[in-house]
Amino acid sequence: MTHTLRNRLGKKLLALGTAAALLLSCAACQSPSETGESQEAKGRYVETALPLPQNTNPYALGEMDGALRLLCDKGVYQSTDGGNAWEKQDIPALEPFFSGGKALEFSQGCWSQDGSLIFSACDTAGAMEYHYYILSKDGELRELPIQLPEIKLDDSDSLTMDLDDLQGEGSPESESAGSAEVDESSGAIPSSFQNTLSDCQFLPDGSIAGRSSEGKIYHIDQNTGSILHTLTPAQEESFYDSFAVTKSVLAAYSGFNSNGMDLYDLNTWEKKESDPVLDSFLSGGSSDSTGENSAVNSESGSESVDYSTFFSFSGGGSYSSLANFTQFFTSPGEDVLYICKNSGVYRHILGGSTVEQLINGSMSSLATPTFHLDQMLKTSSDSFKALYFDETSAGGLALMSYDFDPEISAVPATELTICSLYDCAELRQFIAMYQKVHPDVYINLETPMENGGAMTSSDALRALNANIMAGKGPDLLFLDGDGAADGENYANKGLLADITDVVDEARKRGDILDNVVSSYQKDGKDFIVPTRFTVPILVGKKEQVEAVSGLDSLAQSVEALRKANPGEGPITGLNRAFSLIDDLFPACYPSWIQEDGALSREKLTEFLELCGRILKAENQGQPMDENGVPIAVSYALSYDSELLGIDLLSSQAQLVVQNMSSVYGCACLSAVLKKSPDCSYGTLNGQSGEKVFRPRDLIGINAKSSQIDAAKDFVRFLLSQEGQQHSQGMGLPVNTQALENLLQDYKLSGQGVGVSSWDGKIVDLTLRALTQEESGRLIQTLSSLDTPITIQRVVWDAVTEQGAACLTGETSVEAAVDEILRQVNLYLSES
Amino acid sequence: MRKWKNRESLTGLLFLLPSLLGVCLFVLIPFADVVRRSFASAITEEWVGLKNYGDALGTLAFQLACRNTLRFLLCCMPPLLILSLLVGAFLQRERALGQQLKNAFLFPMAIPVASVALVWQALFHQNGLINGILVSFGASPVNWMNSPAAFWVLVGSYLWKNLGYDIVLWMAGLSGIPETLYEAARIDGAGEWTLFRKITLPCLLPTFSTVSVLSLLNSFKVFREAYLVAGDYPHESMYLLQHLFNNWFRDLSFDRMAAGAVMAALAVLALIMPLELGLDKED
Amino acid sequence: MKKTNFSARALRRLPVLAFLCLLGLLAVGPVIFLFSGVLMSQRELGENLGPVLSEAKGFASWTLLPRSPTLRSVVELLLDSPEFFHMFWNSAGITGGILLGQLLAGAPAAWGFARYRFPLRRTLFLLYLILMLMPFQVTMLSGFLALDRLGLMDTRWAVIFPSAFSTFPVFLMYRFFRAIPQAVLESALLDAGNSFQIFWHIGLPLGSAGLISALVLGFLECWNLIEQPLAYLKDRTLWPLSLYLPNIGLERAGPAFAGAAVTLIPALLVFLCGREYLEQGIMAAAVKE
Repeated sequence: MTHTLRNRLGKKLLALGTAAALLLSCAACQSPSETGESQEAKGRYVETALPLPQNTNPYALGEMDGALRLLCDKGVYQSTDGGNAWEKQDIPALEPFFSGGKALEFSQGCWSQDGSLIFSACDTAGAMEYHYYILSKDGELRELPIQLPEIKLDDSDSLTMDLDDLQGEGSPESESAGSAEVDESSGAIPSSFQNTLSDCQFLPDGSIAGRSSEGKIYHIDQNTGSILHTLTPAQEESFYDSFAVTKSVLAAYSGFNSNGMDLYDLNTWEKKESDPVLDSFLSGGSSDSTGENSAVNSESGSESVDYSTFFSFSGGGSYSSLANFTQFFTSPGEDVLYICKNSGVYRHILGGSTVEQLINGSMSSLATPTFHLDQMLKTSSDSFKALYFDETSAGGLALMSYDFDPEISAVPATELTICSLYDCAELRQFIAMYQKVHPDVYINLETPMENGGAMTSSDALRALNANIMAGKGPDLLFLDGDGAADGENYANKGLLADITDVVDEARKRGDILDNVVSSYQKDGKDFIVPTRFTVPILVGKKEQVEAVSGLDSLAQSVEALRKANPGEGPITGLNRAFSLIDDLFPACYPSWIQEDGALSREKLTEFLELCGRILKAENQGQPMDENGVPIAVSYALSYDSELLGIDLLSSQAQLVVQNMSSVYGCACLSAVLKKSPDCSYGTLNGQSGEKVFRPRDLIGINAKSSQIDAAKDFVRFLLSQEGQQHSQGMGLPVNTQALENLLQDYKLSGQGVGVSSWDGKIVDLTLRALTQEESGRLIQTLSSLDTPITIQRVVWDAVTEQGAACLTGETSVEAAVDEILRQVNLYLSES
Repeated sequence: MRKWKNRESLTGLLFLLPSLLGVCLFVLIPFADVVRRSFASAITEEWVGLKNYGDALGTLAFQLACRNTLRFLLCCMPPLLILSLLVGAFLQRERALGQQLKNAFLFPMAIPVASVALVWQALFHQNGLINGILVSFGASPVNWMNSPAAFWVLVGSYLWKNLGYDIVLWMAGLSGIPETLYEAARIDGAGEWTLFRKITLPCLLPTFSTVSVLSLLNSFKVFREAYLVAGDYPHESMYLLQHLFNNWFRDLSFDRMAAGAVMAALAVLALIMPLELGLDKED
Repeated sequence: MKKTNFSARALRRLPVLAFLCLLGLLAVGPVIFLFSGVLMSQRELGENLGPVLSEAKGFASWTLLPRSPTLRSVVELLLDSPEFFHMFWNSAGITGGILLGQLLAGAPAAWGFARYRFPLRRTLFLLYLILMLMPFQVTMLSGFLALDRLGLMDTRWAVIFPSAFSTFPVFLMYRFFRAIPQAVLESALLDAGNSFQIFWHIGLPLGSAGLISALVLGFLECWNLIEQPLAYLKDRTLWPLSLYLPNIGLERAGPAFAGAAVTLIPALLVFLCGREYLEQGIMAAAVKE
């Protein structure tokens, strides 16, 4: 027995040995092959911006006989030079639509290859019904009577789905359609909707395919409007998000359930065998997996944010714009599908074995957070034209052309790597804008903490440090300023390059908030500079705002207000221990720091006591649940809310404490103040009256980078008016010129916002840009700020956790202070 | 004769060679680099002499971490060694049940660290299972992870994980003691306790050194659980050297980290030397 | 007479035995806890652990037997989390590589230390011992730089090589090889084998228990690697399973328990299969020749 065991073991070891030898030789072979590629490939698509006809709102872009055609709200335009000059076409049949003679609003349209146009329009004056029209190439217009089956709302699931869908397409709900059974319990929501086609396209034979709001695709006769075929996803509760028509196939995409592409034969209208290469690409298996992972992550998110109070929360687009999109287009006469994603434009021959990248997204507007792709077109001259909705431009829409340049190197000559622990719309915007002006530079963004997984921020920092020490670090460091990474520490340790010259240029120009960018200055030298900042502010009745000079007077004001309004609604809305601490402590923090760097026990105690008073006054006489927690919604989010000051109107607060963190927020505040003339705003000062602000989005250059000059150029751009003129909600621009421009013609001016008040009323508000005077006053206030708030994560965690425990009565103030000091001192004692 | 000896050393070295090369490349050279760094500045790597040692010794956190690590070793090693010896000696005589129990004690070794961390969280949370039991018995709940109790949670976790391992080690040593020794002593009229004291303990001396070295090795592994549960800054009482090294790394204080590491290595050497000399005495 | 004596002795032992049984129960408790958690529905877990997970009042509770046992969490984990499988195989690959290396480099080294005398033998052995005892954090930066220079960074090998040359298995196997009586080897030498043949035909088979116990301990160690892959693997697709678990905290209690159980199973299997060898191995480490 033992003998056989020994023999077997011997054989196993022999086998293992052989295997190991093989493995080792593989490893040895692997490394040198990577260095072999020195041959530089040439040629790539380069993005250029094209002009659009003045003051128009384009709906559909098409090509006919080599000329571009654009359907706009003011007419049809044509360009024969590839989109550089536009000329209005005379099409009498359409004139009533353009002149406003018919109360019809375009909703979407599509050109056919031969120059016919199909479009839908909404009857805004009447029943809000949709009508479909076909304009033949000869300029004849006729209405196509399409009767779609109604959407029945019997199931709450499909209700939300359809609502989203309808809102997404911007079509208002129809109240007249269908049997008007109103479900009392869920408010005045009709039990059925008019089913509309949100996306119509011509098929090669001239008939029409359209995707309906309930996610089905209808094949429609172009003459009678009757439905020839209906395509439905196989899986129940699934719906088609989009479709594209090639020479012989209709490809329908259902991204929601990610079951990939359904391919329908255009002759038989039977479902064909699926294309595995395409499906695996679309499910993210091959190239970019970021989208899939982020979906997993958001599921695990533990925050319970209640968005139900905002029923229009479309502002800023700061977070949603990071979401990935997938769109398709085709080119006539070929069985090829073009796929647009954030990461680029891809080409796939149906049935083929590869998906090939044509345009690198990160070198185009595709990856720009404020750009939303509307339509893309491949012209007969092998150029691509894309129509975008651009949040930052005044007109809202932008036309881009992608042309192949065989001379330019396939990969830009300079590649800069920038590392930010987290992905951030602001940074993506900076990068995209920079690359647009510098097509020779490619900026590679690394975000180690995105889809963080097991990695804590300190794990990520350790890996980053090790990389930097090995000379493989990023060229630039981007820190969000929330304390996960300590910018000061990087500067002090000599890891960052001196960028004083770049900052001085901006200072000399005089269009920069010197007080903000100098937050981290050491001995007159700049190593790391903030590119954004936020300011805690106070909004309320004029005399109350003026009465608050620090935390002490804030507590007094809250108490006075409660005394004056006993048993009434919220005062500041900060009714939970944790959010109260979390919101108030950053402003107070600078005053706690003593000269020796340690925290002042006295100030900390005072802070907790004052917070206790505020919380007590806030919750006096308020309804509580059985656990002693206020029933009213917690405003944990309010500090960074984009809807600045709106709580005042909705009676969610009488004295609003919030962060001014975006231009959108300023436009909202401006509207709020316009509506309530007796109110005003002021900065929320620190505990001892310091004028505080929080530097955000810090940028620094790795001193070991081999491309310091190129990196400096990026920093220079970030501080310039050009680079700063956008606002994603993470902070205000540090460039005064950019800030002023944004404040004064903020394009969302006129956009409506609605919130429900604490007693159930609905408040509408129309945003407005600031006047020159107002923006001047604001900028003056901002340039007088003198105390940056920089908080290390350790301090943040200790204060919020212990502070909240103390306010809820779990521990005494003294014990909380002891615990905070103990934790913070441990941290401080490490250096 | 001498020639044979040379040949023998050569063969021995040949056997050692692959391992030695790998160890040099992946373990020893990095360690030597750490020693070099302990005399140099963090980023520019200029020679600074003993400054880093002074800096490291001067940081309160280092002093605290050293104290805690030492305290941890003192609090977890003797109880583990004694408890496992007692249990081992007892199980040695229980045949059937002894085997089952031994298996049970070995079980925790197999549980992945992350799973242990999960269990910890459920057990020792402020509102966790243990506090639930305490309260149901009328005791007041303990803030396990944010009070000096955290240290004892760490010690408990170490004991839990390594008890079985050490029991088996001791039992092996026990089984190596010839029964004849005991019989001879029994004839001389010695009691059980005397037998244990006069025969068992002295015979277990070599086992003792092995058990200690391995227990020491395992004591450094508790950090993983502590890190997964309590993060970078656990309660002061369980702030170990590894926490500090980790944080120094994050804050780019490579200089101090290297100096601290060298000092820790020297301390380990001082601890191991006598044990190892004891081990090799019989060779 | 003898019988009463025995029962009296047994009686005296009873409290000790009871105490040990309790201790044993404590030792296996967490495993039982994990497995019962796997069978619970997300809702039951939420109810039980609510006070730990959210701000719910009261204390967490637990029942050994789930009210309505379900394997939903496991199914969810295995079917809906492709990355779980991916990481599982990464773990298997890394563990396999490390164990192979430990065997190939460690066994001869242990044999060399155990059976031959050469200059600096004791110093080298002491050095091995010290290196064995160094926590990972100490050499993390220097190790990183070394691996980087070798061009191994961000590949599986960055995790495999340093652990494959860990000195712990050498220490463990050394004890085994020492335990082989000199007489056996000398008779083998007379059978005219060369040194390698002796190692191959005598050393390895006689020390097989040691090899296997080193492998089992090595497996348990590799299956738990956390710091090394975090530090050396930037590419997430290379990450092992040990990094999946901390990833899902108690907030997603269902998958967390299922994941913990699935991770535990291979370790448990290896452990149970290798237990006897392991015991022998640990024993041999303690026994002096």
